[in-house]
Amino acid sequence: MEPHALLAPPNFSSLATFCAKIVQNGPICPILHPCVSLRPTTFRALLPGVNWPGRTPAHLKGTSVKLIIAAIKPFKLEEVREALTAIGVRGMMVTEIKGFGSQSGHTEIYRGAEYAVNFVPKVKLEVVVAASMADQVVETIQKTAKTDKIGDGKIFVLDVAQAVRVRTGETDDEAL
Amino acid sequence: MKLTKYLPLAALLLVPTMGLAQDEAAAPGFDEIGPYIMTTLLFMMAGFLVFFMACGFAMLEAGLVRSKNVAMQLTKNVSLFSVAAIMYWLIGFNLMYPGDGWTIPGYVGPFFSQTVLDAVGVAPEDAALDYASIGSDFFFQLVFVAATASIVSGAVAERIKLWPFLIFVLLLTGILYPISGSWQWGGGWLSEMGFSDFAGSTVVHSVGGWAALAGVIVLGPRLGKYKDGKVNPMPGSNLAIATLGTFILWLGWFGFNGGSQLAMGTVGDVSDVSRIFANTNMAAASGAIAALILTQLVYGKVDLTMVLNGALAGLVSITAEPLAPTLFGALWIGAIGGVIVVFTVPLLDQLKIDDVVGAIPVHLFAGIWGTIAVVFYNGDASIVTQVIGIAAYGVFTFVASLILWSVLAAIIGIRASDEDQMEGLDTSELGMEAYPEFSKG
Repeated sequence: MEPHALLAPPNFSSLATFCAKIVQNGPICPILHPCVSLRPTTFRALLPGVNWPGRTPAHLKGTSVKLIIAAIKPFKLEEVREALTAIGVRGMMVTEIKGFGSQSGHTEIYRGAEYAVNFVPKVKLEVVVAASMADQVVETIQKTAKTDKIGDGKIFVLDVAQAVRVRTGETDDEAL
Repeated sequence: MKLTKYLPLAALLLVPTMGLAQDEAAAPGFDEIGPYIMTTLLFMMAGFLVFFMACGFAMLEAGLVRSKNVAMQLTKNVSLFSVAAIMYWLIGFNLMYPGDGWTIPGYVGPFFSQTVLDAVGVAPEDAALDYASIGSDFFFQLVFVAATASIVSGAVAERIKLWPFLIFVLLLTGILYPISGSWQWGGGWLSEMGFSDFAGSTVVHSVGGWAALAGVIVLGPRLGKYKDGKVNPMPGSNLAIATLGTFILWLGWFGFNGGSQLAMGTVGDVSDVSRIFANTNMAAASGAIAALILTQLVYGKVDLTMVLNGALAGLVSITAEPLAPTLFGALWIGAIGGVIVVFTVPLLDQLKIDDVVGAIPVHLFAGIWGTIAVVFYNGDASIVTQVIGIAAYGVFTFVASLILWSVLAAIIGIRASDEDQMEGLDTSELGMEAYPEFSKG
């Protein structure tokens, strides 16, 4: 027997299949129902380190975690970060982007020649949060990034099919 | 501890030495060799200030080209200086300062006459005691010719191939510039006529500007610069570097103009050098301020690249006569240089003459203005002679350059292909980038 095989965890595949079935078919124990949320992550978190067979069933995908994409004015980034941190957002991705919306472009002059700046610099914020929190995040970004002037940006909310924490393999809102 | 305690001791040590010196009665006094030493020192110090202008040009041009052409622009700058240095030894220096060795008196000096330095440890009686050492003079003049070539490289940037450019530099620094330079500074026909160009508004800057103009015309604009009758600006990659370059040029100009006094052996001469420093600085400042105010008024926003060009145009304007004007004179002469830049940069664009760094407005147009402005403060200069000089340099340099560029274009081609220009000369010609970790500009 090779050494690493000795260290391998016991085979939970049968238990896993069982749990997956529960997930697929909904709660089987009514007593359990009010106290425990029966999303797949709840079960999987009970048994960390397990290689779960298959993926989350399609009809449940994207219901637990939301991706919020916001394009905002660059100088508002710090304020928005503080506001989001304050309401409990624990991570975000930020990209410097250029684009245009209703603000459209504007013209500048370089060495006496006028030229159109078609793409305006913005900051793109990507925040992934539990679905329950999404509305609050959107509201916070909207209120904080607002200057009442044209070009304040846009916010989009998308369903996330799956989220995985690389370090532990936790998924969806457990991974956030 | 005070050093004065040791003075008697020092005197004791000195006495025998002084006695020995008196024995060698032939040794010349300071009155005889002082001016030679001081002027040589002036040439060496002014020379390394002007040498540093090569760095100034390199930085200015690197900052004003797009990032995909920066490594190429730097390559051209270091190469052109080196080519100029070798050509000036091989042909240029003696062709420009023929002494009695003219091939056609007053017009063309000797070809194939290399520069020979003073002997090692030259004795006073063998040195040019009324002037300066050959080494210092040669070095001081050589850094000027390099400045002329740098002017060309800025104008033709971003689309000229490296090797044809260097061949042009070789001929410009070895032959064209020395021949036209000899007409004035070599004691040729224009200096006989009374043309006045103290440090080279025409001899150096306009010559560079004319050669650049001819190059830009033969070469054509950068790909995509003029589209559908509209000017498409191509903002420079690094304005911090461009500003550094301008300040370095400003610093180097004290050597450029100050050293052109060509003497520092008397109270009058050394005071004149300082007078030139002050006037030179004033003209740069007023050129910058003129461009600063004008761009705000005309375009609604200040354009830093124009302010930088304005300072340089002020410097070029005062170069033909940095000594005679008062500080106020230097102020208004330089300011007009700055005004010229703000109005002629867009004018060239309208003519579809694509001058990347503004070399033609700064060096040619302000150079012409500076040469004319000589008559306001220098009573010996006449407007007619000044115009003859400007025209002579213009016709000779422009026509000769136009021919050279056209021949180069016909034989080996001077313009980088559209694809190479799109990719950037850094990768297409050098296979390297100035800023490899950044995305393409």
